[in-house]
Amino acid sequence: MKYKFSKYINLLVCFCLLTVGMTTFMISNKNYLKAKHKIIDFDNKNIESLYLRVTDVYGRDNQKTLFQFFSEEDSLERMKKFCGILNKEFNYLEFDTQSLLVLDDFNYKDEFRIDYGKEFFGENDEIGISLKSVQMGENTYDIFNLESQLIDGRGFENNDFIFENNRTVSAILGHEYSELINIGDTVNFEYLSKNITVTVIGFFEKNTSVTLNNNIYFLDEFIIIPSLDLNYDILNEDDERFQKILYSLKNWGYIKINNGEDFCDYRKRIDDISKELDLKYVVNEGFVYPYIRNISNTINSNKGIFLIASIVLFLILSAIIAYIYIWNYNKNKKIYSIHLICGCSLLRLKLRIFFQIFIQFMLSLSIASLVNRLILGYDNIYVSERILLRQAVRQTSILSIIIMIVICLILNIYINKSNIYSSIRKEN
Amino acid sequence: MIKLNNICKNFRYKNTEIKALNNINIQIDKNEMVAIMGPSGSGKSTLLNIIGGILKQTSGEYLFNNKVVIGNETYMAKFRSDNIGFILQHFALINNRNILYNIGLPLKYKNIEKSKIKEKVISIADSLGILNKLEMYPHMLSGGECQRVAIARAVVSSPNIILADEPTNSLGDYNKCEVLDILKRLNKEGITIIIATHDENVARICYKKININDGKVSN
Repeated sequence: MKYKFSKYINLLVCFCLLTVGMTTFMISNKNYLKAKHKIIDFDNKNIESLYLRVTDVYGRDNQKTLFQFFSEEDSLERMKKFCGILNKEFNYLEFDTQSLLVLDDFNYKDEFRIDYGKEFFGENDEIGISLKSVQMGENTYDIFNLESQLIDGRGFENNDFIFENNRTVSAILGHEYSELINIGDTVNFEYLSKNITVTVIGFFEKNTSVTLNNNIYFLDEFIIIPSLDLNYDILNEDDERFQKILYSLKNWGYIKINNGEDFCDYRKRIDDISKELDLKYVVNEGFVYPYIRNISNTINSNKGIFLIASIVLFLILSAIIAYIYIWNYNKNKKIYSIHLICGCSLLRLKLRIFFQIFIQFMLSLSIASLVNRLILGYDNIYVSERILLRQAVRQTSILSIIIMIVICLILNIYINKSNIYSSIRKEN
Repeated sequence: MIKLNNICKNFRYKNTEIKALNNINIQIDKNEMVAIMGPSGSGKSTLLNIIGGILKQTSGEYLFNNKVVIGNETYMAKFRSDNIGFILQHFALINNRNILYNIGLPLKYKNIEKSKIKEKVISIADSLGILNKLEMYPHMLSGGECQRVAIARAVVSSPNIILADEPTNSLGDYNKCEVLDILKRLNKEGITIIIATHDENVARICYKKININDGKVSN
């Protein structure tokens, strides 16, 4: 027992040192990479604007569901407040493509329909017919300068965005509608389970479009209605549900960001506002991520110094580990030589030792990754966090593998040089 | 069976070349019991290690059953596993493993099933009177018992040759006689035995003696 325990103590010490070295390096590497990826840069990338998508994370990663959130008291008030702050403090664009369910006889072409397939609408459209529609906020309408692309009628005015119960909703139609319906006509639709009356106020010219990141929305076949700001009290349970769904969609908008702006600052501000209102909203920076520039002087910052320190620590620990392996080899040399006289080859023996080292490295690497993922605040919600962690894990793995190979090479040279058989003649 | 032609073995120690063996020419036939005699440092263990395939000669030719023994480490390991059993002065047992494991170790490297290893170990241990020690650990046994375990390990894989390096040095007179009796019995069963010793009493039981002095065979 005594022998076994001391054997495992060595391995345990090596394992602990390795895990500490790898974890420290991974953390500092992740933080360093995080500091490096900060500034938005779309120079020379042939784009004019970038938009950060605001999304909620209800129902994801052990978060409560949107349904559970809706059942909370004042949830609607908080969502309305959040929407107000987004519009006030950011260059916020409300833009959604919720379809409208046709309630009247109405001239439309098949290509205007949202094709959810027969399963959704039934074989003979008995469930209903939904038409393509866009809901856009006032800022969106202005930023894309859609007023200038009207060919007939008028554009949206401030008042059109405010919705009171039973009031008709103004709509500008895509060019394809211009032959089928007239300005001033009204049509009844169901929008988010609420019946609304839409009045046609104008038509866009052909090929009018809105581009948000890599998505281009051609509006020719769309009914464009304002993203509604509700200005009336809740009428009943159905209306309350309508309001909640409406605001949850309004809050899934876009923040326009400019070249050279601090991307992390946006993320932090949304996080802070969301936390303050006890909401689960974040920015989805997936599309923006490739446009985040490295800051070249990060190496001189605190993060850079920590990274260098962690590399030095890892190397020192690796040297100690190499020493322990050599010491352990010397300690077990007699046992190894017994195996050799019993028919084991030196190669097999070395492979066994190297395999032990490999297993230790892999276990330590796994634990270091787990610690980084689970314990040290890895935020699965953010794409950048995932990417940075992946990069940090990859770089730690590469460094670990290099160190492992060096240790194995040193040990191999040491084993070849040492006279393994001489130990067999020594007394116990 | 074994033929060594002009075998030399040099070791390097701090930039100095030391000649451990110098032009050794010997022949050992099948079923012989040979004593290699000489004082400490004369080169008898080095010779034994070359015969056992543990060390490679610096020059010369080693023939086993008329075939040259030469190859990489893996080949030599197979050669050891197939042909050689070792018995050493300090028994060379693995202390944190029980006797069953120690005796069965050579069979493990012959890829024999666990159940068959156990069967074979029991049979050998029984013939050497250590059957009741199989679950014990080496430190629980006396010197004579330990050497019997070492002999059991040497013969378990049915080798052609047993190489015994000072097999009785750590033993008292009674155990010494017992071990020599076992070796004689094994020789009668057909195993070639080569004993490196400086003890005349041990050499007396062998049919052939080879004297080594300063790395050279002397008559």
